[in-house]
Amino acid sequence: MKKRIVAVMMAVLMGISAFAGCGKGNSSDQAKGTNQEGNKEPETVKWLLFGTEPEDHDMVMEELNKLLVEKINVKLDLEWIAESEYETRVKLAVSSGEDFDLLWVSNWMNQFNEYVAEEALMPLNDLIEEYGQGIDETLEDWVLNFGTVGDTIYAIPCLQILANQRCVMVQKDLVEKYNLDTSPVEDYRDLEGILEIIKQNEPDIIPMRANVKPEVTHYESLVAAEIWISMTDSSATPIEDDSVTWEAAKLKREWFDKGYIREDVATITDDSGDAKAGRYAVMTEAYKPGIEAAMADAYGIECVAIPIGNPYVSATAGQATMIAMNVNSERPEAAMKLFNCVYTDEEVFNMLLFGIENVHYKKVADNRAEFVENTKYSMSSKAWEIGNQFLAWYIPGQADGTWEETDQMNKNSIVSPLQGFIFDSTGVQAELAQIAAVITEYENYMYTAEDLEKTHKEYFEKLKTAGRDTVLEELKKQIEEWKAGK
Amino acid sequence: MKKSRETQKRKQEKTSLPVHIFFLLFGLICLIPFITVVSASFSSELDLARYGFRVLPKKWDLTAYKYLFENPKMVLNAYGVTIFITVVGTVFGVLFMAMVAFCLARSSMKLKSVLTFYIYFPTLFSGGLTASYIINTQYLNLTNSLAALVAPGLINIFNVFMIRTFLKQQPASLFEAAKIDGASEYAIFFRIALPLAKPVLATVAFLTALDKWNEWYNSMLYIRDNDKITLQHMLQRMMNNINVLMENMDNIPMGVNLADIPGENLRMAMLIVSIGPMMCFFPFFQKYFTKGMTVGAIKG
Repeated sequence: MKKRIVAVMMAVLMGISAFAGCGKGNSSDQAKGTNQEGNKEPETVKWLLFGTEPEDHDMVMEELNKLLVEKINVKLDLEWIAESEYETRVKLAVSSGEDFDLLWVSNWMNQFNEYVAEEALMPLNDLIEEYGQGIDETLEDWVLNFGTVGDTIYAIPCLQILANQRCVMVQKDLVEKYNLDTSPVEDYRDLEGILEIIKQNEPDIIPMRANVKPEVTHYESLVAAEIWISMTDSSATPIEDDSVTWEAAKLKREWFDKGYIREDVATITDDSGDAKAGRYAVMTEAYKPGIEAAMADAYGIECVAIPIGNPYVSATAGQATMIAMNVNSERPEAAMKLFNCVYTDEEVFNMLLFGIENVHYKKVADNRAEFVENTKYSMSSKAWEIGNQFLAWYIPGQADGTWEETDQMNKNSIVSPLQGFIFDSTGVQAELAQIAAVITEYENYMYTAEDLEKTHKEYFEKLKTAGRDTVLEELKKQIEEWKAGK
Repeated sequence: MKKSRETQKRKQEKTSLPVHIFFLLFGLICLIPFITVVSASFSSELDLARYGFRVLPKKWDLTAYKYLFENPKMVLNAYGVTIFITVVGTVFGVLFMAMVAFCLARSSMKLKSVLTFYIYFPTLFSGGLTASYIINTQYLNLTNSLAALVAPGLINIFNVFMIRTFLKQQPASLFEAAKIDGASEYAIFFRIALPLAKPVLATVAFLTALDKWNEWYNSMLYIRDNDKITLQHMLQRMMNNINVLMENMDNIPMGVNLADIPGENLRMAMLIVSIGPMMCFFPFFQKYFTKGMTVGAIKG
């Protein structure tokens, strides 16, 4: 019996190695074949983005490809992958060596760092120099730096809002009814006057939505481990103790006790229905020019924005949305030509966003378009994902000059002293996963904890056991190295 | 003697009262959440936000179902795909599994133990996702084909062993008799072994059908065309997209358009639409289900 088992195992192993052998042979043959083809025929660039494919996708792509062939002799094969599946699918495509060229990366989904660590991204320096002059001219060096590791450019940031500023949106009819003061404030605490008035007079409305993050107006975070750096600290030293989270917890608790926050906050997971129903008087958002019109469009509620603190460009701001190239791409020149064209050509870019004129949208002014009713193609909300948002036409709800204002805000913000620094988390993955679990566990608990001080201590202890100190040391070490290399 | 049995019977009835109550309560605990889901699907979004979930809707509202069936193409397509892979996957799956099991159950089969080991051994570990992905997309060319939803996982080893155990109980002399009467191996398989194995086949068919009905992972990996995705995948995608958007609200540069997020009532309506048919079939299979499981397990 034993002999037989060994024999079978040998047979299986041999079978596997035989398969592996022919696999390799095949794929290299294929690669050679396509490389030898001439360049007369337009090459097709495959680009993976996340989102829902619009109904008239094929029709628009056909028109767009006519335009692209005319301009740069390249065709585009764009694939929209559902948000929830994007990361799994792209990672599989990369690890299995699938044939595609461009992909979207960021610091919050489909992590840029991980791809760089795996050497899965194509270095772009030479390609940009040769085929991407338009990108080079549009992007200032400090923006391009966000996708650079060492001296190598691995990804190109999409141009959009980079400055980060919190704001709260107050329902407009409440502002008028109680004559609320909506001038910009320095800190969340300055909003208590408004919340108190609403609490006293409007029993049916919850004064404040629970997505308050008081710490982010004064501190920036380089890694999701409750490690903060003060925005006013030019030496950029991570704060070691728990003072930041403690202050935040105190504020959250105080507001809960005063009745500004909903009572069932500890158990609620998805409150978008309440937001849409107008049950919150005040909601926290990220501030950007034109936000009032945009929110009226999204929530169907007229709001007034109150900015909090100062606009700040964090160390990783530009990494929120970037386009990179697959290292196995067989047509890097064509891919760079295509992305350069999308990034700089208003006609091509807006066709991607709006579709075909008079079929999907109507042009109402030089820089403004309106979708027709029940349009079967509308990707204008994806401008920030595809390229240079400042080239997009305005849609109803966006005021003229919004892009210029945004550009100004980007340029006039305080910039993080660590701008361009990227935390390499590969050495502390296990710790970060544990820390994330602890953070989720305690996220809304601070509102309702019986003994806040004890709970907060417990929270911090758990973070430490999960490995916060290791991450902190690693971060400090990397910042030192980064400063030394500069 | 007779008397004592009667008292025993009465005793049994008495003790069964708390048992009845327990199971009534247990049934209610299972039933109430389901009724709440049904009720939520018949409520309006604003009512849900204002009053929360209730066992009876505050006001009957058909918006969710209207929205679902306003563009029925999507739902119907997904239904079509799911029904197709359920039927095809179950028919072929059961047939092939029974064939394998039949071979393994025959004592006259020479390579029986080798084969058993060959199919059992890989169940102990997995080759990982990337390997099967490469095989399926680059060598078998299953990308965007419905075969990708049927072929991988067509044969479930656990089910094969269940059928084998059942078939082993059939007397070998029965097959010998058939052979003497001139039946071929195929005739023995289709006309004698299979009809006798109905209970276990029904069980396996039900398990396979359930598996295929819930199929979404392969659909996510291999299907590119939105017309070819399965019902569960469509649901899963909708729910997960909402989660991704909610979790990353602060990161997504332009913010999330809340108007695009389907309301709670719509999600519940989708749930009802997708589990409806399975709930209708389950009671008919159930009697085979228990029988097949226990009969197959007698001799382990």
